[in-house]
This record gives sequence, structure tokens and C-alpha cells, in this order.
Amino acid sequence: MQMEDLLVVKNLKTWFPIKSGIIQRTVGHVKAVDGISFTVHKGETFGLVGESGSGKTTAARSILRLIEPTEGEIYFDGINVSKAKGNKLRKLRRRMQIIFQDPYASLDPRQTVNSMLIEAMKIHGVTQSRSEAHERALELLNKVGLSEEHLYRFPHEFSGGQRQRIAVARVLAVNPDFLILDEPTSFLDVSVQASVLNLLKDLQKEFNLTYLFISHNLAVVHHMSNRVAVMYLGKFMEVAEKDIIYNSPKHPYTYHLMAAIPVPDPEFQKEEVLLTGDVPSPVDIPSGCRFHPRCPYSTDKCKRKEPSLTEKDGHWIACHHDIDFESGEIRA
Amino acid sequence: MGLLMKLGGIVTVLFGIVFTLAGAYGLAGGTGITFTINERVVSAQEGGIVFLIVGIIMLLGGIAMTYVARAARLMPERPERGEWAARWADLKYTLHLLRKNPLVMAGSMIAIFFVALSLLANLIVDPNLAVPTGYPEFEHSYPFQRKFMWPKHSVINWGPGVRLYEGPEQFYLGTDNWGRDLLKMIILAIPVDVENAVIVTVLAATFGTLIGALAGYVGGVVEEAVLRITDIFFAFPALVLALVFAAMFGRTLPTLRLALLLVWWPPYVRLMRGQILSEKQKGYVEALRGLGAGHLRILFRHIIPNSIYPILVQATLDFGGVILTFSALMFLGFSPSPSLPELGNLAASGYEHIFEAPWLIIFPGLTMLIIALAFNLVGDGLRDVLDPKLRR
Amino acid sequence: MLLSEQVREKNHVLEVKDLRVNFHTYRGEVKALNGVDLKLYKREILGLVGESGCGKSVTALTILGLLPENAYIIGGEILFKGEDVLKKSKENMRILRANELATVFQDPLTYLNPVLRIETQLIEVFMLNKKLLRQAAIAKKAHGKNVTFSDLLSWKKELASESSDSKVSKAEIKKMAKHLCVDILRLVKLPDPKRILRQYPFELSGGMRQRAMIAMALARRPSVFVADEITTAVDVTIQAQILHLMRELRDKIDASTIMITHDLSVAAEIADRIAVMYGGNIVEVGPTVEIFRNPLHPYTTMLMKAIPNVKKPVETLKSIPGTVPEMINPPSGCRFHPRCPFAMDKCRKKRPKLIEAVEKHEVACYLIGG
Repeated sequence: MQMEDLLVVKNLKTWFPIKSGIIQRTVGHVKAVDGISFTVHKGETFGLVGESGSGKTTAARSILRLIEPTEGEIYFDGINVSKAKGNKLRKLRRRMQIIFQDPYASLDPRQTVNSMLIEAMKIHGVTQSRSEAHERALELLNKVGLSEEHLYRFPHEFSGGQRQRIAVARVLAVNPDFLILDEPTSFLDVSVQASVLNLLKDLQKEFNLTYLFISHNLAVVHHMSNRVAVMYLGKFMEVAEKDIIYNSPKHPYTYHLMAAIPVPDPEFQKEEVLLTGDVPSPVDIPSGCRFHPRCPYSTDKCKRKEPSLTEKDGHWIACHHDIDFESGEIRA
Repeated sequence: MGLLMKLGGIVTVLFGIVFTLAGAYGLAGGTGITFTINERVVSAQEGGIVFLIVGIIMLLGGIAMTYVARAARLMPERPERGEWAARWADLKYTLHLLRKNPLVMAGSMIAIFFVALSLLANLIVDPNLAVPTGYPEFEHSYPFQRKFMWPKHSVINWGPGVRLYEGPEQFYLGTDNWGRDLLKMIILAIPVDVENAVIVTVLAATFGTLIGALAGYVGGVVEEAVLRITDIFFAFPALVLALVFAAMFGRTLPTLRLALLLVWWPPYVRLMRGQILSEKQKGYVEALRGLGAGHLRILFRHIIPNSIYPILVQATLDFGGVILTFSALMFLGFSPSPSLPELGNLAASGYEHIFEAPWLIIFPGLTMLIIALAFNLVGDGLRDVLDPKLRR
Repeated sequence: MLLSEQVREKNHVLEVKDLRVNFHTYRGEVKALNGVDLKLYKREILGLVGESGCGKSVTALTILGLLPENAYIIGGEILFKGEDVLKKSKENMRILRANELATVFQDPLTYLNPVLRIETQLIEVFMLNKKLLRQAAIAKKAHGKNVTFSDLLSWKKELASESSDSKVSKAEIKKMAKHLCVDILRLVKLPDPKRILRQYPFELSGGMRQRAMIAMALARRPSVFVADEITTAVDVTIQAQILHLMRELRDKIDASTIMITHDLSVAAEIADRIAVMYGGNIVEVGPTVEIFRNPLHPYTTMLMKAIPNVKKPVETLKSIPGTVPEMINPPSGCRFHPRCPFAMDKCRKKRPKLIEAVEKHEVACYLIGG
């Protein structure tokens, strides 16, 4: 890879202890994130997909240390994030920002837009004087498609899409390099989603931002990302360029996931490929390959041994077998 | 910081003007009134000089403060009009919502009336009347002799009302067992009660809220420790504690207030902690942490302002509660002096004559009821209005 | 095939005519529904598609008679089997909801009683119709074989004749109800129904809860089944399972389904006809294939361009300028005109009516006549 690696994650694990009994003994762990490793290159959009229980939300927060990881190393632009403390951590926080899913909850209902933006700038000392801050606030609002009249309003006076834009403006106020987008459009209408996604793409070009885009909406991830990782029960099943993931996946989970996407074209002949069973919970992780109970191709080996994520030409896959999904034949 | 200095300067200047004028008047001879300050008789002239000097100093000092503030550029540029306009519009919406409920409006009116009454009581009725004639030992029992705002012999109390009680008058609510006009006693009693309520409620709320906020936000051992200590205080019965304090420190109003204070703050801890715990989970807190905000900023600038409403509601409700509890204490005999005008005390002394003179207990009781009810209504209205689900 | 015949013969089960509904709020009158015209045919799945605030949920609630207190029906009628549902009393509506109109909502966790087991809740639904249970029990006695729920589905509702000589005990009725519970869970493809019956809602996963709700809705053998955003809150694989279930059930049950969703792709997968709603009106309605091949209303066209399609990726999605209208002060005339690139003067003045532009494909737009 000629592009520099902005974010390097090595074997990230976040486990939550389950306490029970009168003296609150730790009887087990919710292994939300159970060992993921990947790199994000500068300027790219790295997509992360997975269903509920996959751990993608926890992974995002662990990278930023909003939730403390249990194990693993995170490097941002060469700096060790896992070990940073105090002021160093704050400086890192300025460069790694996050947009959350729920635009109705992520803004303090008692703050005006102006106050939010100025506070963001104050926290990181981005501007010197009040007038400079005011200028910049107006500039940011314009960038995200809002105007001066919105500056002194409270969050409840805005729609969902507008609130997300405010959140984006707030994040941009501190000049970040890296942005984690955790389901930024899930709560938005289709038409609003389109404009927010367009805005994100434009901003990425203009400010040379790097994105980690998380969503359960596979079509949206496909639209936004360059490379995609598929997560299941805390681990990556497959990581590759987006076209490979969507059109010629190698992992059975990825295949079923892609086959389940509803296509807005009624004439598109889709084969009925259904995954049985429910999305499992990370409390009780199956032995061997964690996908084996739902996998129609699982063998004995899958039950016993957990496959490791191995790479071949930039395509990472965690599966013991090489499966041809058209015919259902298991090769190797 | 600069704004504070500027404001402080302006206030000082205003006071300075008032004092200067007062002093000048006194100096000019006034009405020959004499003051008694610490058993020393002072003539109006001497008092006038003091006031004049103090007034001029304050005037000059205040002006200086404003200049200093501006010179040192501590004063920020005028806060943007938009920001304050937005907050004012928000407040107006709250008031509008309040106006819609007739009960709440009635309650607020009554509450405001009583608060105003408590501030002006001294002007309406001569505190001297509280001292029953023929009982010189009760001379200094009225607490307002120590109050600095409008002391018995204050400048504002000049006028015909000061020397009173000559000849027969109308007793609208009857007299009590000492021959005092009951209506006037009730009016005098209201400030005492309101002052009690304010002191106990405000201190208990402030202290309890801060501790509760700390416990809720920090969690862990601190939270546990605070909760356990609060539980201990929860267990104290107010009356027993008052008895102990009274026995140890004597039966004075401050002692009783302290006793009530110790019993009154635990509910605020629980309330605030609960609020903090639920606010902590909200999205914007996480967003702020992601932004890089420190814990202090998040706690004091975001979480606490968002959690304060139930505290306000509880505080207004507690107003009535404190008055009632105080009355109960008076009834049980904890009053500093039997002639102290305080609603509970009046009711207590009236209890003995309940068959011959029922008005002695009815009217003070009724007053207590109305005050408590008024504040209750205000509290209810606040709760309805500030409920975020109903607001937007 | 059947559907097109029905459309031609105007064989509809439910017809909504010019429905207008307002809500009283502090801020003013919210004109939620502004003259909704809708027809629902037998055994079809109608996809009611629209963004938030367009009024699709309000339409469903009005049909069901479940509007909140501050809602006022200003005008229009809803004809169900010839009768105007809006004129019925609350009690009659309740009976209708118990027997003919069933709903499944978006979040089964809040709509299932958390302190009762699934069995208790499901039996309660069956026990609403004791007559049916009695008949089933009698039939079982007569034929010696247990009746399945699918059998029940095929029994005509009008078969309410009470044979007074055959008596069945309360216990037998209860037993029949229990048996039907197991059977119906099997019908919605829940594994191990007996175990699930004994569980509480929070012990089930999201997908299973959704199926349990569907079972509770089916238990009433409804003629109209309203599914309000049932796939919105679930994962994509579970969504696929539920859509598959709906398709299977459609063939088995003799009911029409209104599938409310904001996701056009979901509607594309499962609906026979699609009705697009905007600003309290139906702006376009027609067979699914036709709508996708040939969208006529500007809103529909722009909506389709705004959805990312995995099979046909684009660089930029076409967003619709402006925002969803605020229904307190909705735009005059055609609600979409402020955002429509083709808006003409007459669009501002008067709202266009739904007219049949192409066979079976209706649209409300002056661009297409009117």
C-alpha cells in the first residue's frame, strides 16, 4: 500500500464482565469485540457492516476509547491511542471524531447551535477571539448547508436531517482528520439520507477526511465505502474491496447477508437465500467458527477449530473452506 | 468575570446613591428620631453622618470598579443578542405554558403575594406589637430585631406606624390570649415562616444537589459512600433530632433550622443522583466526550442544567413542607418563646382555648394551609410545564 | 392475475374515500390527512410507502379506529364491506378489530405485555372468539381429529350456526385454544412452539417477537391485516425471513395486507401494488412493476433516485431539495409543489386529483393530465 495508514488496529478486544450473585462475582463476559485487526488508509472510506450483536458499535467506541478496550493496540498516525492519557488523549480526540446515530439525542437540548459550535472550538483552543469564533461558526454552518438564521436556535426546532448536519458542523469545527460515522443516516428519511450522504462525500473531498462508516444498511455502505469489513459476533468474517464483498464474496455469512438485501427493483430475480435461526448474542459464543450453527456448509472442522483471518491479495477471509455458492459445492 | 465586576460596580453605585441621600436627610435634621444600636442611643444627626460617608465611598468605589473592568478588558464584548434573545424566547414559552393552567396561576399569585407580604410585613405592622404589653421579658424575642434588611428602627420605618397601640382599634381576626391583634400577628408571622422555609429549602437543596450530582457522576466507591451516609440521615426522625438539638443548644430558631436542614437534604441527593444517572446515558453526553470535553465541563455545564428541573419542583413543594413541619415543632413546644409570632406557635397557643376562642387556631392554621397549597400548586405547575415530553 | 381481474371488477375489500384527519396540538392544527383515496383488494399486499410525516401511520390508525384523543376526522369515509367504519361506535369498532382488522406494529417489545407469557397473551386472543373455539371443539369431537389453524382459516366466517345439542365443556374449549396456539406458532415458523409459549417476551429475540405478534394478529382470522413498519427495526437477515413469511402467509390466509414502510426496496420485494404517500395524500398508486418501470409522479421519481441501489451504483444520490412539509401550515394546492422542479402555477392553487393515467396506474399530478 502506497497510501499511508492512518489508523492501525491490532487485535482489539472489548469484553464486558457479567456479574452475578450477592458479592457480584464475574461469572462470564460479553465478548462484544473479540479480536479485530485492520488498517484504514488515509483518505479512504472503510465500511463496517454487521447485524445487531456483531459488535460494530462497540468497536467504534473502543477505537476512540469512549469505551475502554480490554485488550489490543490502536495506533493513529503512528501515535499509540491505547496508552494516551490526559492532554495527549485530548489532542488525539480532536483529530478523531465521531458522528452518532441518533440526531435527536446527540445534541444538548439546552444549547443553541452557536453555543455548541463555540464550545467545540473552545475545548480544543481552535480559535483565539470571539469574533473569529463567530466567523468560523457561520462558515461551518454554510458548509453543511445551513444558514445564519439557524445559529441561535435550539435543537428541538430542527428536523432530524438538520440535526445531523449540526452534529457534522460541530465535529468539523475542530479540524479532525478522521471521522467515525456510526449509522449516521439510520434515523433519517430516504430523501434526507441522500443529501446527508452527499454532504459527507463532498466534505471528505474538500477536507481530505478519512471515514470509518458503520451501518446495518448494506446499500448505503456500498454507496459510501471503498473497502468493507463484515463483522459477526465480535470478529471479522471477511474484509475486501467493496465490489468483491458485494458481488463475489467468499464467506457464507457475507453471501447470505448480501442476498438478503432488498433491491428496489421488483423485476430483479433474486434467489431465495435465507439464513435460518436468529442473530446470536455475544454472551454465548459458539465453539470453533462462530458462524457454524447457522452456516449451511458447516463441517466438523468448523465446529472444532476457529478459522483465522487470512489474507490473499488484499482479501481477508476467515473460513476453513472454499465454497462455490452457485452450486453449493465445497471445495477444499 | 468582567461582567460580574461591571454588574457589581453598578449595584454598588446604586446603593451608594441611596445611602448618600439618606445620610443627607438625616444630617438635615430629619424627625428627631433616635436609634438604639447596641444599647447606645444615637441621634439622627450622627447616624446621618455615617450614612453619608458610607454612601460617598460606595459611589466612588462602584464607579471605579466599572472603569477597572473596562480598562482591564475583563469585560467581554456584548453577548451576542441572538443568544440571549433565544433564551428569552424559551423562557417566554415556559411562562406561556404556565399561564394555561388556572390552578397554577392561582397558586403562583398567592405564593407571590405571600412572599411580598413577608418582605413588607414590617412596614405594615409594627413589630413592637409582638411584644405583649406587660411582659418585658419578651422584649427581645422577636427575631427581626436582628435582621439587617429592615430593622425595627430603620430609616424606611419612619412614619406614623412606628409608635402605635394607643387606644382601641378594630380586631379583624380577634385577639389572642395576650390581647394582641391576631391579624397583625399573622402578618408578622409570615416572614418568619417564609424565611425558615427559604433557608432550609435552599440550603438543603443546594447541598443535597451538589452531593447527589457528585455521587451520580463519579459512581463507584464515592457513590456508595454518599448513598450510605445519606441513608443514615434519612433514618433520623425530624422531631427527635429537633428535641436533641433543642436540649443541647437551646431553643432558638437557628437551632431548629439546623435540625430541619439535617433531615431535609437526603431526598435531594437521591433525586439528583437519579437524574444524573439517567442523563449520563443520553446521547449528547457521549457526543461531548467524543468531542473531547472534560468531565467537569460535562457535569456542570451540561448535565446539571438539564437535571435541575425536578429539583426545582421538589424545592417548591418542600416550601410548604418546611412550614408545616416547623409548625408541628412549635406545636410540640419547641418554640423559642411563647410569644413569638409564628404560625405554628400561634396555633399552638390557640389550641388551649379551642372551645372559647376557636379563631385562635383556625386562622393561623388556615394561613398555613393556604401557603402550603399555593407552593404546592406552583410546584405541580412547574412539573407539568418542565416535563420535556410535554414541552415540545 | 387475480388481482388485475379484481381491479377491473372493482372488487375491493376496503375503500378509503377523501379521508381528512386533523390533530389538535399546542402549535396549531396539524392537517395530517388531506383527502386520502385508497382501495384495498382481496388477497393483495398493498405497499403504503412514504417518508416520515406523510400520514401513512395515521391512515392505518384511522382505518383501525385507534386515533388518539386529539385527532378529529374532518371528512371522508372508510367503507369496509359496505359499511362506513367511521360511523361505527367505539364498541363496534372494538368488535371489528377483534375479528376483522388486525395489526402488527413496529416494535414488538413495547406492544407485547412484558409480564405475561406468550401463551397467556395468545390464548387471550383466541378466547375472544369463543364461538369459533366451540365449533372447533365440536368438530374435533365429531371427527376425532384435531383441528389445525389452517383449517380454521378456511372456515367461512358466516358459519356461525350454533348446534345447540352438541355440548363441549369449558375445559375442552381451553384445550382447543392451547392446541391452536401451538399450531399457529408453527405456521409462523417459530421453532419449538411449546417452549416459546412458556416464555416471556423479553426472552425472545426481535425476530421471534415479531413473528409472535404476527401470530397474534392472524389468530383473529382477519380480513385486513395492517403491518406498520414491521421490518424497520430488525436486522437484514431477519427482515428477509419475515418478508418470506409474509409471502407464504399471503397464499395461505384469505386476507388483504397493508404493508406500511418507508423503504421502497422492501415494498418492491413484497407488495403487489404500491401507493406512494406525500403530505397527507396518495400521490401515485399502481402495480409494483409498473410503478418501478414507469414512475409518473415527480416525487416518486426523485425518491427512487435517492435510494442507493447495490446493483446499480451511482456516484451521487439525487436528493430532493427542501424538507418534508410541516403539516401545521402545509403548502397550498399540491403539497409537493415547493420541492417540485416542474411546479406550475396551477399546482399552487388546487390539489390535483388521482386519475388513471395508464391502465391500473393512478397518479395525482397536473403533468399527467388533470
